[in-house]
Amino acid sequence: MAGIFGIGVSGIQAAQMGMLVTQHNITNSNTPGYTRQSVLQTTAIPVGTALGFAGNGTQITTIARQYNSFLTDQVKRSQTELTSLDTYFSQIQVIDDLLADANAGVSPALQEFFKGVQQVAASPASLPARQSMVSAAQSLVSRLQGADQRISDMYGQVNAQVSDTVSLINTYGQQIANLNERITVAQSAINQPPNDLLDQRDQLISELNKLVKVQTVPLGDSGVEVFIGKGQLLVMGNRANQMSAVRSAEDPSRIAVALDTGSGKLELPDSVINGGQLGGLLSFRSETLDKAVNSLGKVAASLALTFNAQHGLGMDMLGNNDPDPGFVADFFKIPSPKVIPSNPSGTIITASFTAPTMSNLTTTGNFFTDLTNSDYRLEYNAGNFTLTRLSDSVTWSGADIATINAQITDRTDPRGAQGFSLDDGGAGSYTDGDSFLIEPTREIAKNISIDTRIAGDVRLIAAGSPIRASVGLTNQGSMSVAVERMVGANPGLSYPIQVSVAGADFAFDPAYNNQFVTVTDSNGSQSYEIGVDAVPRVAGATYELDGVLFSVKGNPQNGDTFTLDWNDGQTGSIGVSDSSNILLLGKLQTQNTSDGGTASYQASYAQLVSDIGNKAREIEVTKDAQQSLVDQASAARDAESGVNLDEEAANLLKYQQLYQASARSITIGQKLFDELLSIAGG
Amino acid sequence: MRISTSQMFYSGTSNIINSQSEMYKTQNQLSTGRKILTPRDNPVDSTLALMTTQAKEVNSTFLKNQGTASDHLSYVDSQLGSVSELLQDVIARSVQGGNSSYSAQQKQAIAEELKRRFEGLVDIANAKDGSGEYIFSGNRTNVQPFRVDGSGGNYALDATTTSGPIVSYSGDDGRRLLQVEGSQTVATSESGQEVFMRVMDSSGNLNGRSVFDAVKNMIDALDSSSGVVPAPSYDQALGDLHASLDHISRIRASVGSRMNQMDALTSAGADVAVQYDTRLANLEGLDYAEAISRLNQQKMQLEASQLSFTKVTQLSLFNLL
Repeated sequence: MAGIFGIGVSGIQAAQMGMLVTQHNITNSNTPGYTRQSVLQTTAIPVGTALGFAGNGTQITTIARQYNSFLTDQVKRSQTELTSLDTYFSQIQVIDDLLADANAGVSPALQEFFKGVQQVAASPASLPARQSMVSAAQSLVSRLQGADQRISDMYGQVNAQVSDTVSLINTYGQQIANLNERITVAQSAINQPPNDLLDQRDQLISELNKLVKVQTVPLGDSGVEVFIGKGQLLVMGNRANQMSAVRSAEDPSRIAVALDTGSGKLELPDSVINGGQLGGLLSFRSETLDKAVNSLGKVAASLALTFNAQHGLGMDMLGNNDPDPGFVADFFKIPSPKVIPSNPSGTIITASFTAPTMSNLTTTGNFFTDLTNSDYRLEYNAGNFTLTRLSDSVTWSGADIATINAQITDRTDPRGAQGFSLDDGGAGSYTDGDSFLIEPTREIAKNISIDTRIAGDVRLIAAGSPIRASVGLTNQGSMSVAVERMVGANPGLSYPIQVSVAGADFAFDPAYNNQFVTVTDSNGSQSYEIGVDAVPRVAGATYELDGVLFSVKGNPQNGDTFTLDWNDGQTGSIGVSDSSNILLLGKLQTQNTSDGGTASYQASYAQLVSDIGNKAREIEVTKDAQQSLVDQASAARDAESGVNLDEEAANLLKYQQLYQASARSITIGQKLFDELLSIAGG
Repeated sequence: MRISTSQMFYSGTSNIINSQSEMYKTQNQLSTGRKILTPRDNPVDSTLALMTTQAKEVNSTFLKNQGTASDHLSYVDSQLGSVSELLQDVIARSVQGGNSSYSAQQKQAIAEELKRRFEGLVDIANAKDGSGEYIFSGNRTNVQPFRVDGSGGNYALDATTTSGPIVSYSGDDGRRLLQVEGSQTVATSESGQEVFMRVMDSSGNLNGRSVFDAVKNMIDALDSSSGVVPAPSYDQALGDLHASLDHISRIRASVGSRMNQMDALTSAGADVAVQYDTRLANLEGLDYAEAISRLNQQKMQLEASQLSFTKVTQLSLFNLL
């Protein structure tokens, strides 16, 4: 008889536990990281009788989590990639939007500047035209600075976010370590799994995983070890290591991630950290941000260097030319390439841009630079320097700086010229491990400006050519002579130089003996030494003497002469409307002035837009794909571990009925007992 | 497959959010009229658009330069036209003066008239353009190019000036150049040296006498009281006047051909500008019909998502308990 009550009570107890767990599921159906729980119910140990084993009711053995570690790992793995891509995208989007903004973009300002140049070409003696060219140059310069500002600002934002993320990682690490301890204690106390604590720890690990990719290894006593990066231990049992945000040793302007070891802070290379917000930030900085700022700087540097080189060959409206003290050769001002030393011996290395090359010494030639958008690292070890181009790890090596320079300025080298050279004064002292970070174009767009003397006196724009040609007044023939362009600065001979026609040759004054005249026509170039060789008259040829490239046309007669003379001549009057040099400056707009003579300014800028646009698109597409991976993995996990309220409602009904039936069986037992008592009492 | 309740909510809301973001993009495209909003929408086309924009801007600069060149050239042409008329007049009067039946007084009267013509010629040679720059002084546009020796531009020579050029030139040989096309520059001026000082005959050879010399010699040949000894040859002076007129006509022809060249370039350049506009419209411009029908479709989709979300999430067994 007692069995009836016992079994009934066990059913009531099981139903109560079932309802408790169901309620717990219902109330936590929206709790992040919650895993649905269920009671594991078995039959109670039966009673052996002579008639056989009699059932003894039911019992609850444990409350279990519907947890699948494989599915949970899937979610974690895809989630960390997604957060990384999300972070990357939200950063690159800013640059992409900036470049899309026609009003802030550099391209319209570049066009306006060259329109200003053309205005001066149309009326070189007009001060208003010169003033409007300087104004257009000023707005180009401030547009470059503004674009750089908006992109460079992101370095500060990345630094701040890295610091914030690192302190969050530390908080999570500590909480996980604490939970490890509580889980171990709880588990050993009653020898049942502490489901909700396990969920909490999983949730913390998943949050940490959104910050940086983690690997976990379960420990025997229900604790877990957490690693980040390439096996850096963050949590071990109840102990958490601290990470910190530190100034990078190589470039103090960058915040890097370091791990506190017992003996100090170990800076982790950016490449070690991947996944999560932190991974996204660091790869954005090294893949995209550096490249964007460098590319913009490359456009600015190529513009400044080539424009200055051509400008320096001209003559201003006051008759000044190189090397007159009043002459301003450089229209734009830019700083030297940035060098960040990290060498205890303290030898100072500086870098400077190499002078632009002229593509060919004819009328169609133009200046160009060889700059790249990469940074470089110079290292010293065992008596040898190695220079590495960081974008593609191409290297140059040599025993001293001069040897390195010889290679990186050699345009015939298969690695190409790099557009800059280094200088340690020829007498540096070095120790093994010295290293220098060289950022040739990083700070050019930020710092480009117009020479204040030109901005203050627009007559200093060198629109004309320092040398002009004129033909003799008493010439009989129809010869005309024009100075096509200057190919060298600072003509050094004594002017005027009078040249006369002597039969099929040109005759020079003996004062110019041993000077060389280079004659170039479609068949090539040939040099002739005055006084030694006869300098032939060649139809359609250009002639170069003392850096002056001139052409002779028409039909001269024997004895006819022409004269090369300073444009500001002996009479003191100046060819103020000479547009020779400003024409060449205007042509630079469409000539191949960058990337070793393969791209115009605009093409070089368009390359930046294309690079960023393509990368942003790539990240966006990958991010969208990753989002659906995360959604699928989450769906698979939730299908197993998530709470379904309808299911729980059904469970409630089920346990309610179990409760009611068990209670009913007790009342039936009661009735049987009453029956017996009435028989005994009767 | 078992679905958890939170999953139903999540997928419902994320569908709605996705639809909204698609609509937002379409709406932005419609309000800007551009199909490429940022380079990432189409990196290839947006790079092409940048290069096309520069080509278009450069073309418009060239068009403007062609206009400037035409203006300069037509001004030069009108001045040269005045020189031609003046010379024709001088030649007509000189031929009259050569009439053997004319008396010395009559010839002197013609000479007096020619002196005024001479002054007019110097005035034209010293003409300035609209911005106050001398048009016949080569590149020294701030320097008065022609000066009559010993007098301020008036024909008042004394008898001792018997040789050498009567008018001196202070400009230079320069011609102002302007870039009017990718590979073409055009001279928008002629130096005074070329126009007035170096008169060539029809075979391209110089006779060593300027336009001014020709007029001056004719005056002295007609005016027996000039005191120039020996008196210049009338025939040579008349020949020089004809050579001068031919010379000016040749220069005018060259200027005129450059003006024609500008017209041709401008008409070609205007066509190219239209092509660039078309190309830019193809690269960046929005197809409104397509975008509006896309917007309608997205609107329908969003409404369906919202409706199904409310329907599905209202279903719960608890409502029936």
